[in-house]
Amino acid sequence: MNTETELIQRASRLEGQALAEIYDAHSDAIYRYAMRLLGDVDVAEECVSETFTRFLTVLQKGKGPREYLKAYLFRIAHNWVTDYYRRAAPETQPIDDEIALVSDDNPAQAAFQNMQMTRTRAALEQLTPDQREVISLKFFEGWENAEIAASVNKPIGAVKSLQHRGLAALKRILLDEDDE
Amino acid sequence: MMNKDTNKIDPRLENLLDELHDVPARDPKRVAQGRARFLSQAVVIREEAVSLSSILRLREWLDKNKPKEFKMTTLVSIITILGLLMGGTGGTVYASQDSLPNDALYGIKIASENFRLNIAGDAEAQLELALEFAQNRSDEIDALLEEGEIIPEATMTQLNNHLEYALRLTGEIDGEAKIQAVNRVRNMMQIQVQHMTNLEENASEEAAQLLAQIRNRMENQLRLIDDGSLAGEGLEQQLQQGGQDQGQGQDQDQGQQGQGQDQGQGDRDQGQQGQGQDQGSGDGSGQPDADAAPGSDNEQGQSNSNQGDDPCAAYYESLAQAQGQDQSQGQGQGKGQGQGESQGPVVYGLNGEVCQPPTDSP
Repeated sequence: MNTETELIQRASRLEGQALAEIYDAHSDAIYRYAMRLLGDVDVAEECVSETFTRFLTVLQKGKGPREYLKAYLFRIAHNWVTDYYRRAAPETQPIDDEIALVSDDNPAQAAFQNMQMTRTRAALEQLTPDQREVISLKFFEGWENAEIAASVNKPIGAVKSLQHRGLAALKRILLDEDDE
Repeated sequence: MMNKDTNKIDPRLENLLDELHDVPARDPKRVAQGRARFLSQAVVIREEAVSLSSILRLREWLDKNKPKEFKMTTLVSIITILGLLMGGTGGTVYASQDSLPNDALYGIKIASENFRLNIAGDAEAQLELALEFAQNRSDEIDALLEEGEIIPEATMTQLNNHLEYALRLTGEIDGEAKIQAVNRVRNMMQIQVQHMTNLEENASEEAAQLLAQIRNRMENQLRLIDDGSLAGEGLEQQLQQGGQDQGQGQDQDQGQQGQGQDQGQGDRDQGQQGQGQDQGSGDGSGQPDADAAPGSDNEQGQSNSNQGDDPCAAYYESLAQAQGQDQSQGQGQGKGQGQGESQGPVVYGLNGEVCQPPTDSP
């Protein structure tokens, strides 16, 4: 039995130590994932919190993953983000958090970069949930296609197809407008 | 940085996605808070799972084990108390102190507590013991939950009875010690009210109803304390009045519940209700009324008539032994004999019932 399988089994018994290990190993990555898509520290933290709460709920019901724990958690986070998009009103992207991230020396450049990031996020939001998940995991998290396939629960061929169509949609939204 | 498997991606698109790659560092304080929240949620869910599993098996345990356990523990208790009186079985009694209601030695534990309460010198000593025993019942509830076992209703009832008895004892304490005693009982009640509230959240509807009844009784007692109605001799009247007030609401529910419970549990509740009727209150509260203390004429017949197959038999045996010794020493009167005396300790049988000692010599 490998380490992750054992960890999952311990977590399924709601062992505190195992759950703490899982939180320590994956919460930061989920935070970054949510932050890249949503651009708001508070919302990203809420995503982390909800992801792990839903994970506990699944464990409580005696369900949950048998393997690919990271993929499973990201799937929960992805679903939460998708729900968030549906709930949130348009034009709610905050900018304060990211202004601090970009250059302090050139406010104009910072504002432009922030505007670009908001625009990119808006474009990602327009993708289908599966396309968005594949693009995010592939280009932000650097996952291999096999890992992504486990997370989206689709064959690798379907993952490649989603990636292709997602990139095409992003290009159309973000670049074709500029070219016009 | 971005994954480099991006041969098909437009460099301008790659740059746009790259801008999202870096995110602000996560606030360590929020990380710690989120982690703590997650782990505490896990604890709650784990306890809920344990509690649910416990409650589901409650009736099964009562149905299957109680009658057998009852006879066995009664016999064990008789032997234990006789042994105690003769100075023996100390090791067994010691070993029983960590036992739980589903253990064979639990009867010894209860019997030893009853014995200690029976020989306690004054009201302060009895109050000390009552609080200790209330804490014991609370610890047993926690331990049962921890082990995934069922919480017997008798244990919850005993917890409440110990606290009510402790509160009643404060009426027999004078001066500065009385204030301290009341505060101690109040603190213990507040802790247990919170405890019951927590248990209710995860209990089944049926179990939650019982927990709520016990909690409501404790809250009513707490209101009596906080109303400042504990001055001098008025305490017992206030408690009785409070019990009657409760009888208009929650205690009616409790009476109904007693009818609906399984046979073993129902017997116990009927015994407690009968006690209340003897005192004229008839509220079905099941509280060990002050006037129902040992020595009250009204309950003698009932007490004696219960001895044939009574879980209090062990207590009667021990009392008979103690009274025999007292009489042989020329004192003539055991604890609780004669009206107008200070009430003796409320002694609980093996299943949570209040034992009423006979006043005539056995």
